Amino acid sequence: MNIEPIVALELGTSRIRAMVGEAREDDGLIITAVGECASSGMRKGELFHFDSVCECVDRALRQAEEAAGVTINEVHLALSGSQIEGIPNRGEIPVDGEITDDHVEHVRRVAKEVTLPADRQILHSIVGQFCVDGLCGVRPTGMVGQKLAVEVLILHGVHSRMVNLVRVAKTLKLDVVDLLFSGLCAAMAALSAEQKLQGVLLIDLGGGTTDFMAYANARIADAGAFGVGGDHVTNDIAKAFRLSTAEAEALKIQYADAMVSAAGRTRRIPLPASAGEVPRTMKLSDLQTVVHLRMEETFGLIRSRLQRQNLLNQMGGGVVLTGGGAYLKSVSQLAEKVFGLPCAIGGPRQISGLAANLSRPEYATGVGAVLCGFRNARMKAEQSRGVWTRMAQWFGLG
Amino acid sequence: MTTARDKTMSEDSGPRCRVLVVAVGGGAGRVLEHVLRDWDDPPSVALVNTDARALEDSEIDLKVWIGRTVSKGMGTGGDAELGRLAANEDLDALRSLVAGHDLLILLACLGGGTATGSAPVLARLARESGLLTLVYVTMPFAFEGARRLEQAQEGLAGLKQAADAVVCLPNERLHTLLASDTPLPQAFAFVDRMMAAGIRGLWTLLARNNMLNLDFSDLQTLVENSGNECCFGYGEGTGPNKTEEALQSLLDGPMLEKGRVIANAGAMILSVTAGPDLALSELEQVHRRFKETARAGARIAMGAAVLDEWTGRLALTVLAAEHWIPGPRGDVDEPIVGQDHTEGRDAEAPERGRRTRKGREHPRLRLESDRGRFKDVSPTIYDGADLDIPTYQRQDVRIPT
Repeated sequence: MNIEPIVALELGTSRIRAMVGEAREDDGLIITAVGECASSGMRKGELFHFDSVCECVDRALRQAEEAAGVTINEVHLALSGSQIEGIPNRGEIPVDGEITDDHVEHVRRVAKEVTLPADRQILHSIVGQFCVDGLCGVRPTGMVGQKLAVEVLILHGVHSRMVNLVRVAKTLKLDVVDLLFSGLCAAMAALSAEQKLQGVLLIDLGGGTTDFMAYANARIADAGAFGVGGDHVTNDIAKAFRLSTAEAEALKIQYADAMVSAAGRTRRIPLPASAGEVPRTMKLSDLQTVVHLRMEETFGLIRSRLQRQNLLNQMGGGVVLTGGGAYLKSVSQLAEKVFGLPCAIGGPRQISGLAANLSRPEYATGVGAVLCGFRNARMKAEQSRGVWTRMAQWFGLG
Repeated sequence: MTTARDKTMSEDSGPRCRVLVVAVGGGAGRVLEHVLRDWDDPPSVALVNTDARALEDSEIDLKVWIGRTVSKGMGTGGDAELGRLAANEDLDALRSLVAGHDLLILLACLGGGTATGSAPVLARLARESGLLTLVYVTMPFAFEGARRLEQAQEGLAGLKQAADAVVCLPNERLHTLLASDTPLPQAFAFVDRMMAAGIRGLWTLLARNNMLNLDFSDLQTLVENSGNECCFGYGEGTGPNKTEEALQSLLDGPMLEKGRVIANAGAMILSVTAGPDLALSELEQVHRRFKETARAGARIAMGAAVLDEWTGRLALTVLAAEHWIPGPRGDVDEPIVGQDHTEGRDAEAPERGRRTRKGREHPRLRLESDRGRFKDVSPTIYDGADLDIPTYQRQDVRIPT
């Protein structure tokens, strides 16, 4: 099966990243190029400054084109933003006798019918398990029953915000094949089938947003994005110690800690001072406190949301953290404390690529978007091949 | 918790808390007129509008015309941005309006231009001038159009940041109170009446030397720790079963979502207005019912006003904080019901009370600058909190610098 190289474009708040993936002979995936550009035109996952984002996307794509030796015409767009929300829905249809593929298609359509506010648009509708007459988790085609039901999780976002991101690609003469929720992408790349079966919570700690995907009973039980991320940690530090954003960012990278340590109470660290000022120092524990409160709150938002739906006790596989925020010191320790579950830092799994360090947490979304692209392309190829075989049969060639 | 009441007892003069009621925009003006119609001892009231004609026609005496140059006296045509500009044009007039008061009750019917745009400006200004700012708003009916609703929601988000607390009455919620064939003027009049009743119930308790008093600090505690959002409910009953009737219409009615709000609230102020025939057992009945409905440990402050003209009638007004954040001192956790009079005779009490109130800082104003790099983007509001403001600030953790 011949599949063209897949290009994923991740429009993150702190980084815009382009990744090129190609199919290997053994149906595996190889990442052949990564292009990256620090973005300044995004806030909380949303477009803020059109031109600077366009320029940044262009730079990332050109880097990737050079490295992979391909021309990029179409991309799979991974996006996040505070407005993405997941709502579970259920569709049910009466059937009489044997369930056919048409029935399955019909019930899926029914389940996808939800009334959203006028400004919202469905991003994904993820099909969960099928139930035939109350027996759930079955493969319905060919079974006999009276009622066929399916559970779906509908991810939706604000239409205009998504359109704006697509417009960036259009301006650069790129076709957008697919819009993908970055949390879903990260989960695709970083979670194993076994983890999903056990129930697992993935949290992607981005620069402007925190995405989460909760798997329970081998299905996606909840997903969403909060418009709070690493930038907020930086902003909190800047406000607390009266620093510029750049100084706060540097301080965060060097010293920040999600937990307040005993050693931090006695250790003093230098604060950046401009020329002529008396150099200041501060207690490390003060910095730790500011960061700890913010991260604890962010995890708390997700925890209370899962608690409301009684999902927290179904996360046998624990918590997996991805995204650049996973580099924060003691962040997994804090997550363990907040969720009461084991926590690990995750990254793309079983991907071979040029760079050995591709399995870093911040690459999960990009790699996942490539994986999504491949899965969809493969499905499409199979379908169209089906048509060709059938047509060949009509003409007596098959 | 004996403060202002004792002051009045000793000085025995005037209202204990200088209340100013301001209506912003035409809709709120109508509500305010409704309140004033049968109110013999009203507080200071004022109407703020951009529409010169509407101001002229109003029965309210004190009028502030804003946005002379922006709107040329013709109103805003539903544009909230114009409303905001209009208020900014006349900041000085608004500042002198609120000066010398302790509590601002602001009424706004969100959706229109003047109310939606200028109410947040006025609320912020009042709060900066040191007033406790409580805002009553109505949200538009769905049939008024998506744009109005959207604009109203934006205005509401702005108000929540600007004011100490916002009490929101979605018109939609009142739908269920009305029969489906209610004529439109009556539907609007009904909304006006509900708002009017709520404001009056609250004011009566604050301004008079009542049988069971609530004082300004009770309201202040509730409002300041309310997480910027309060819910309001009103119920009335007449005849021999007036208490039960009032309780039922309040707790089973849609305004408090069939009592759900009370069950969730961390703190509430409950005011009873009744005639001289009010029996002790009736107050007990009200209190018991609320204690049963509310969650354990919820703070219930109750007061009662006895007015001669209310013989045979009883009204309950509730202000409840669902997102209650207990104060850092966490002082009073058991319900305070009707402070009895002897307590106030303690000579030291007024002094102590006043000192604590003065000593307690007005919560830090959340100014735009606190949002730092997020000041130009739409705020991330979750459960009433603006997540863009540093967590340590919202949790009042002191970071030495």
